[in-house]
Amino acid sequence: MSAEKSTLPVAGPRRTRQELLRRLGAHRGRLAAALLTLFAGTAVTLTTPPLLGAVVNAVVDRAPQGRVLVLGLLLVLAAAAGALSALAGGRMLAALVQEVLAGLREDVFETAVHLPGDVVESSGSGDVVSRVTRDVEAVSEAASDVLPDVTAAGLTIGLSLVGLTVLDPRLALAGLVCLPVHVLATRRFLARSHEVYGDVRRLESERGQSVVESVHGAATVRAYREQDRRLTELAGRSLRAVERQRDGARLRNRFTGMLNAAEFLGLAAVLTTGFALLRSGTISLGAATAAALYFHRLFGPVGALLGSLDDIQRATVGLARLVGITDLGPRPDDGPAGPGEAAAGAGIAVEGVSYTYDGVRPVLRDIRLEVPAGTSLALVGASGSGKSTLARLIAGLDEPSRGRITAGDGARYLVTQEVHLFGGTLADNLRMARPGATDAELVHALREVGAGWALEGEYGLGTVLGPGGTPLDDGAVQHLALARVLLADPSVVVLDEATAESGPRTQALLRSALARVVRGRTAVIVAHRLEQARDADRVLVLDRGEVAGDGTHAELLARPGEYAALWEAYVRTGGLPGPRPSGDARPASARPGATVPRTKEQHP
Amino acid sequence: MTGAPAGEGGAGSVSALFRIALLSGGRARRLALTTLGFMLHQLCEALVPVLIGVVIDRALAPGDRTALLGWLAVLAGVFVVLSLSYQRAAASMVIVYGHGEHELRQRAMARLLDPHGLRHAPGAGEALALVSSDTYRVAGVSWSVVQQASTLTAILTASTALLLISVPLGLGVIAGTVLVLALMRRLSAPLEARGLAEQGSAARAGEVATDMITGLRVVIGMNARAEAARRYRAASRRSRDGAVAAARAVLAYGSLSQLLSGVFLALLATASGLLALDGRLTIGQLVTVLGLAQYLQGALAHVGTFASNWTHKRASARRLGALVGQPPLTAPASGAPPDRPTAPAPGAPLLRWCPPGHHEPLDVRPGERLGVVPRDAAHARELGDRLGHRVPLGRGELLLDGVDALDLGPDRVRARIVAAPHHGAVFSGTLRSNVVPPGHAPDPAVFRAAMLDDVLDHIGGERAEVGERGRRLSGGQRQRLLLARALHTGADLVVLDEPTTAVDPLTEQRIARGLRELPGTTLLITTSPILLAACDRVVDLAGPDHGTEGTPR
Repeated sequence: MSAEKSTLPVAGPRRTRQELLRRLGAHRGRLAAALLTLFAGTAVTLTTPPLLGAVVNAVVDRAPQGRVLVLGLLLVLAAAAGALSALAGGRMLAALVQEVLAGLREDVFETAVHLPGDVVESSGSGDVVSRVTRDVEAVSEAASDVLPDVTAAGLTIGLSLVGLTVLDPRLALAGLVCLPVHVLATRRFLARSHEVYGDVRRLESERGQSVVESVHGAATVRAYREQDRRLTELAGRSLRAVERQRDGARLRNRFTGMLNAAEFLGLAAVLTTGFALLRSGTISLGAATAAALYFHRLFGPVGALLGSLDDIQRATVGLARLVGITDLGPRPDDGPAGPGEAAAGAGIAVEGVSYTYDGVRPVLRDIRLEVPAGTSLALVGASGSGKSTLARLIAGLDEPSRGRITAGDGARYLVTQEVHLFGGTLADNLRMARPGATDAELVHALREVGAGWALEGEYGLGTVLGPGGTPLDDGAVQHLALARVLLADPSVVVLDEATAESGPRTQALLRSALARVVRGRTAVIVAHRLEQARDADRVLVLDRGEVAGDGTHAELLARPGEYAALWEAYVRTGGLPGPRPSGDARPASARPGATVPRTKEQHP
Repeated sequence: MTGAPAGEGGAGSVSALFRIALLSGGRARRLALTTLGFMLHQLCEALVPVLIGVVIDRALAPGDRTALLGWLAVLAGVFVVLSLSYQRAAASMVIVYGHGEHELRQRAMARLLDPHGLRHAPGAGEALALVSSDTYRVAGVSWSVVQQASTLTAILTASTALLLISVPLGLGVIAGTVLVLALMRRLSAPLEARGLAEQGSAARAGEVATDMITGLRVVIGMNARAEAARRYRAASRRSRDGAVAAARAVLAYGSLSQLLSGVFLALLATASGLLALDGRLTIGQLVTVLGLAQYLQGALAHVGTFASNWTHKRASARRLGALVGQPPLTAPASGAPPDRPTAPAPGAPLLRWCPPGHHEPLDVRPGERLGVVPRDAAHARELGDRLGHRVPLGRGELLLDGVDALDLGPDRVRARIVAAPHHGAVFSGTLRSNVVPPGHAPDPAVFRAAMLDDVLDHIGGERAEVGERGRRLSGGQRQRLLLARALHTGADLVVLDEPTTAVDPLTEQRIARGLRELPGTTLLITTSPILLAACDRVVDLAGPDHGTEGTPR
């Protein structure tokens, strides 16, 4: 990974803990109730070893059968009470944990979605995606799967020690001889597991990436006959991950070995102490039995607790990355994206704007331009000329390095080059731009941009689109994006819409939709097709970040330059089938700065 | 590469996939040894409570110090075997499981990338689930085998010890085990179904997050950040409810099994206490029975999950089998290509193509740039698929140097015709690795023709990483990169399907100029007048005047 311009922060361990406590603290009462119920349940269950000890004592004492039966009944009751409180406490804890988790991920998403445009634009966006998905999942998994087990194990261990102490404090002390071994084993394990498991996760995610890319690029792989190369690459990554997992297994084995040693030491110590105490008559045989059974019962929970330390460590890392994001918020609402009237003062003024991404090479140099309210400007330039950057600046997604841009007084709206179909129904896709829109308004917007197809046949407002629903091609998705502009109804619109799906029909459709969307608005259009430039009131030609031409279409044609040459080549081939400029006969009637109503709809 | 296993019956059957996970590649022997290791481990684990009983019986009750030391030494020995057997088995299991999963994944992926295509190709999401989660689950049968074998060992050891101590107790334990097993199975099925359904809804928030963040530029452009956050919140709430419901189902199951095994323990304790009171058990035997009963609790809880464990894996195996055993879309070469002249006759077309619905064959001569105008986007895609032999062709539709594509098969066709898909994929790696085929040198003329200079500038040279699926590049930059890739292959014929849709007209014109200066034979499927102007000859497959040929002046 290369160093990025803007990397997202990660919270320190202290800050992470603090934030976690704050979030849990908000539900103090419920947390206490859940833990108390679990505590009670574990305590009841832990009466089992002494009850079993009592059975032993009853036999030693030659007690009547009734006593054994009563003890049996008590064991049933203990099991029932234990199971019930585990259920009740577990339910409370799950509800609480899930609520805290939901609150956290919602805050993370809210902050992430409000990050400044340049953070998202830079390839740091991969980091954002991985935080709101992978890190959220890692923390969720730990909270749903590991936390309940760890809580149960912790309670069992703590209460077992209490049980041993009640039998005889010396038995508890004997049980604790294994503690130093545990501490040592855990420290050694954690010191190394971090690196090994970090590698395993990295290798597995590389393997996953290879899988994702191959699946998405299957057609490309076939076309270039690269199946073997892709499979070999995948195999290499997959086998490397297995190799590193073997290292992990070795590490875990060493850890397990030490835990086994600790188990033996503790058990032997408890038995020996029981032996000595029994000989001195301090405890009964039943108590010695109970102590041994207590200790034997702990093998499982101790293993579970120490074994999940690594998961907890991993979740903590994820948590720190999430808190790193939430600490960036809260941000003020970006205001209603709802309808803003096309205000009279909605012109755009760009005054001496320069821009640079890296502080060294300028992408734009001293750009000046003015787009009077209600008129359109087309930006023409080869790739790398800075036209998309200028469009982003005008749309308000980024601040110029030097100079000033004013554009209207309402929200500015940008139709991006990216084609993105949102999950859900057609209506869901449209309401992104205006959440409160009625069905009738959606239908109206679709019809206005000529997207009536979206309401016919297999389509409809309630149709689920995209993978898992009815598929749409990029042209259709972009058509919906244009319908959204009408719903949002901004006074200033910037169009960097690039889809030029082949076929004159699609192109004509998108072209008339674009004309409808631009009507009555101040518009800046990044010209991806030449008609877009001709149809605009004014054209600005950019070359390597500087203005190379500025004027109406007709004016630019009259001057020698790249634009005129391009247009000439275009017209020359206009006799060919395909999207011929249908407005050839139409004079370039649009005057710069015209505020008079214009008839732009050539496709009624 | 693995040939298409389709046709040979059972390649995609559940048992065939399980065999891959468990037996092939030398796994059978290793798995057997691993299973034995885990069983030995469980046997020792079961011996621990037995030994606790013996220590209490032989050492504590009589107060015999020598017996204490002796039996503690035995206990130590058991712990050594227990630990070592586990460690060896665990280390070996990583290999069995890891390689089993690896092999399944490779097979699934080989099918997905099969040059002959798939008759019912799964969508990207489904394919991902197949290659990642289903192979993972099917490979997990090896874990099922060892875990269930060791659990059964635990139960067998414990019941044998109990049978040795007292026949009625031993029989009672076995009967109780079977009873608990049956009961848990009955009770667990509905709980589990609910849990699975809820787990599905719990994943929803992640899907919405991915959707909104990958479309974030679009979201920001339309000032819909607040709406995106609102939608995520709604999904997150639903996920929360789903997760809580799933957790509750799991808890209900766990508590039930806790209750049943607790009752089982109580019954066993009462029965053995009564037997001991009758003098039919010694104190030590009683302690052993109690210890074993406590130990059995855990094993029993695990037995309850056996059946459902296999159900999930079989379901995954069926899904995976449907992919692996699927028939190919296009037929492989129909026999060896007939004898053909070593060099085609001079002036003969490199390619003779009869696009469906077109009257007369269309000849592509070496060195020419032919423009083909499609009806619409779908038509363009179809033409590209046909030229790349990605779909079944009719006989006589595509003739390469006079040889029918059907006789050549897709692989040999693609060796000569590179038909770059319109929605081509960029892979993570360097720009160079995406553009230049391995073993070739980059061609500066191609870089210039595809207008890659500003891309190189933008990401920092041809050795710079382009990011996952080329995320560091814009749509137009990705398209130019893919163009350069197609031109770099040096194939006899390069078919380009609308290669400049995401590119502005000025750049497009420079590309058109660049294409004209490159040698080689090119077929351009496009409606762009600028690109068509760069062609030597143009065929219109679009209009009613379908089939006209023209030469741009």
